Amino acid sequence: MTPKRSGSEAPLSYNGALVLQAIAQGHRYGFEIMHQAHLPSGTVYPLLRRLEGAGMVASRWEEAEDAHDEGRPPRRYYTVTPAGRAALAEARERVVAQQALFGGMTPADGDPR
Amino acid sequence: MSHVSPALMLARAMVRLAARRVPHLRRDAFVKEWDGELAAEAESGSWRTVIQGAWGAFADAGTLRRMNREREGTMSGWMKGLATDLALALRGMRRAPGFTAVTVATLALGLGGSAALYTMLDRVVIQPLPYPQPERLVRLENQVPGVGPNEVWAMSTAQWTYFSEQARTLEAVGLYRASGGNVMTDQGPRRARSVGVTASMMDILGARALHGRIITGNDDVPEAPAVAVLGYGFWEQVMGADPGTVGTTLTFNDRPVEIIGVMAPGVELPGFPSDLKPDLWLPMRVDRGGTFYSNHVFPGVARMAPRATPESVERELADLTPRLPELFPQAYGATFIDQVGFHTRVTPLKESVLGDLARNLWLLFGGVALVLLIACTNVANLFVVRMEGRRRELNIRAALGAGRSALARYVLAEGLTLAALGGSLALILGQWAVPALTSLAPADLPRVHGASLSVGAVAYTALLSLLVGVLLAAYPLVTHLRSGERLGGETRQSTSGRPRRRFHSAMVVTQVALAVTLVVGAGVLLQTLNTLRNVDAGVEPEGVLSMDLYLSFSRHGNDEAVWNAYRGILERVRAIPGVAAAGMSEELPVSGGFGCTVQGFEDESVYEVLKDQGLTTCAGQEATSPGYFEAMGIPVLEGRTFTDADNDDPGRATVVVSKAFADRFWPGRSALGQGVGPNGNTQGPFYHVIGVVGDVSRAATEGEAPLSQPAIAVYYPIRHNPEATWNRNWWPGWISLVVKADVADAASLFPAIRRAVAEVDPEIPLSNLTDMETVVAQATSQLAFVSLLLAIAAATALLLAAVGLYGVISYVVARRTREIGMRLAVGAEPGDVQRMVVAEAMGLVTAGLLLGVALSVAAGRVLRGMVVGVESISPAVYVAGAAVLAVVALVASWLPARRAARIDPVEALLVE
Repeated sequence: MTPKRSGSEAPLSYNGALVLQAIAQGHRYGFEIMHQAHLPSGTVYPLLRRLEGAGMVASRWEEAEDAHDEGRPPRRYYTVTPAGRAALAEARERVVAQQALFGGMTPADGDPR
Repeated sequence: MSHVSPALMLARAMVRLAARRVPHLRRDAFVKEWDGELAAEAESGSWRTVIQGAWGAFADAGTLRRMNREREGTMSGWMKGLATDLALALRGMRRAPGFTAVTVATLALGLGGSAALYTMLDRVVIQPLPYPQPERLVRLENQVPGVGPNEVWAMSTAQWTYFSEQARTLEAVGLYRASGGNVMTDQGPRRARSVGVTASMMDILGARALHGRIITGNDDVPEAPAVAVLGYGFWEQVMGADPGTVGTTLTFNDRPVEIIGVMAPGVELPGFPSDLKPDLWLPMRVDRGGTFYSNHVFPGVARMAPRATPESVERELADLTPRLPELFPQAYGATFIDQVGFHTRVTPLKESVLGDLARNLWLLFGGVALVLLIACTNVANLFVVRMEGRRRELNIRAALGAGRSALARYVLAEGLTLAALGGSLALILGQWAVPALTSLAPADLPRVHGASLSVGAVAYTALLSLLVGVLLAAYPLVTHLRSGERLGGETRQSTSGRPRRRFHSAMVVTQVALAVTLVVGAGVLLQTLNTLRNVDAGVEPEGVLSMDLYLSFSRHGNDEAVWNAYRGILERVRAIPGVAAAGMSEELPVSGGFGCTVQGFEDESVYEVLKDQGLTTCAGQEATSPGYFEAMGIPVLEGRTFTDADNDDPGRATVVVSKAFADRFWPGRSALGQGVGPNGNTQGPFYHVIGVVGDVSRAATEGEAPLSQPAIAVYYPIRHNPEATWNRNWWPGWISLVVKADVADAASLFPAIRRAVAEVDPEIPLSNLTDMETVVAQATSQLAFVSLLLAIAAATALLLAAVGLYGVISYVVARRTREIGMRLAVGAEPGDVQRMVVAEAMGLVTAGLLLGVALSVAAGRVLRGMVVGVESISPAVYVAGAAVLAVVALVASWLPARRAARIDPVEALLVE
């Protein structure tokens, strides 16, 4: 048997933190997250599934009418849950501390526009 | 969307390829999500990003597949899946009502029987007695092997005084004795059941008063005023439930008694039949400083000290007992203890109350367990057939990526759903069956009456259903999982046909064997019952009425007055049209224990004979009127029986003895003319034997088969020999009147008899109106009850086995339709086909019968150990049991065989 996974037990991976941060900043669709986090789809999608399984993100289908208006099939969009926000806050501290190794080469946290 | 780019088309194809790895429940959503993203990407991005993005679908699919497996692996995920599967199973069952009805009904029969028996077992055997600290209560009684191997004497007041003061392993010792007395009520004279108790009994029973107070130590001394506590039922029915009764005075046996309280309902004496609750509770007022006699007539109960065990109590009492003759010389002769091997036995009270009943209920419990087993094999057979029908579905599921555990869960869900439905129906059945069954129980069976399905039984049934569900799933699971892997979804015929057929055969053999065992078991009990019912109790009970009379001492205070009253009653009763004979005796055959009263003998060589054999001189001493032996149908073997003259002239001092009495005390000699002294008188004048009568059975004690023991009886006249001063205290004022009727409806004589008695003395109450046929039947009533229940179980087993056999043979015929069609096409006669099918079925049945008979022999041994009265088992019972099953099996297999013979060869060959 595979050990049980849950958000509170396993710390967020670096990529997981990136994906979560991207969603938190309002990039809600799979490919959008991909582009923003600079990660390939083969990384982003499995991460989304795991994060959803761990209860850190939730997903919903776009309203069919909205999609129809744009002449394309409805997309699935993701949001961060309270558990995800807590994990992200924890991860953010870690990531900021790690980035200090690079002497603050990157801007601290970019607030959503 | 005017056109779709080739890149998007390729990407979509990739997604669909990847989707094949996605668990089917999530597949649609997977494709939809990717399509949505790819379409959006195709709008905004380049063809390269579309294709690159689509590659991720493979990783995504892999993740979903892994997560699904992980979820299956966790308990909560698995349970969630189980809920879905249970819902699916229910839906599937609604679509197969025939299968569902048969299996659920079968399981309900099996589980319902178990639930009903568990309820009775729980209530009677498992639940503690309704007393405080019941596990510390013990029964005290004495064994006297020198008197008889099964002879058990109750406690004496001497023992009570001694043990309550000296035994450190006993915290409290109580005595009681049921008796009766005449009470004058507003509705005329009435017989009241009284019970004398030591004050310590109140504490032992945890008695409390509803009104007033209970008996205390101050009431239980010789000088205390006469007081009584009313039984709840008596207070309610006779006193009109008036709380003001407390403090008033009641006339009991011509003496005033102050009513000090009303006993709370539910206070009861251990092992007392529920229909014989005491009307009056009276303090026994034993005089601890007075003279003690060997009065072993008081049932004793004690509460052990903390940490004492029945064994340790028994050891301590054994150490104390040898001093009894020294302390109570009037009660015990110096050599008495050693001579008869007198010792006190200590038994847990519950064991003593239940007697054989606990063993009998366990036996029935085993019986219904066998029925359940047969029901399970039936359902397992049907279940396997059904699962076979769903093989395709299972294979598809396996192909869709359902893992082993998911398939197991699916089969398990089916099994559990069936078992749950069966269990629920079983509880409904049990709710109805428990009161129905207990209403059939004899009235004197302890603790059985008023039972209803208990919470424990519901829990037990639920647990049992769960187990059955899991077991049902086990076989198909094991075989399907094994073959399922090999199959890979392609071939689905005949590879596993042989083991499956072997499974069905094994099930048929098993259920036939179990059914034979039950049928034979029931047969053994019925045979035993029949044998016991045909035991000659020494009486001719047909048309014999019996009832008890109680004279008041103040109105008939000596034996002459008693005789005059009795003669008056007998003359009037004999004059009633339809009465053939009438007589009286102190104890009735079959229901009476006949006691053990020491006798004296004129011929002193008798004592020598007894000493050699280690026997005492005691016997059942009964005052008896003329006409008694004639009314009861007890044959006269030698000499004559009493006439009125034997009482009118008591100086004749005549006595009648039973054959067993004559054989014991004067072996090899004629008893006629021998001299006997009642109440242990060895000085004379003696009573001389005028007749020897046939033996009658006495009530069986524990471990004795009913009706098996002859009473060693000595019958004295009502009036005593006036020259013998020592029997003044023998006042035969309570007696059973026996009336032989020569009309069809004997009971119609009761009113006339009652009038005849009232003419002599209107204050004589009649009680225990019954007839000897009932009395004789009651002796075997517990065995009759157990036999009936086991017979019901056996009949159910027979029915289930027949249904099971029918089902399997039908199934086999259906599977072989093509083959049978071919046989018929090439010229086989329908009769041949029919014979072939029946012969095959009977082959299995024969194997089952052989196994069953072997099992029955073992079961017979168990029965012999558990049911008193089962002796040797006649081979005819085994043969009959096997024959019954063979006939039922023949019919059950003939029906599908006939169908096989009617198969249309053309249609059969076109089927595939």
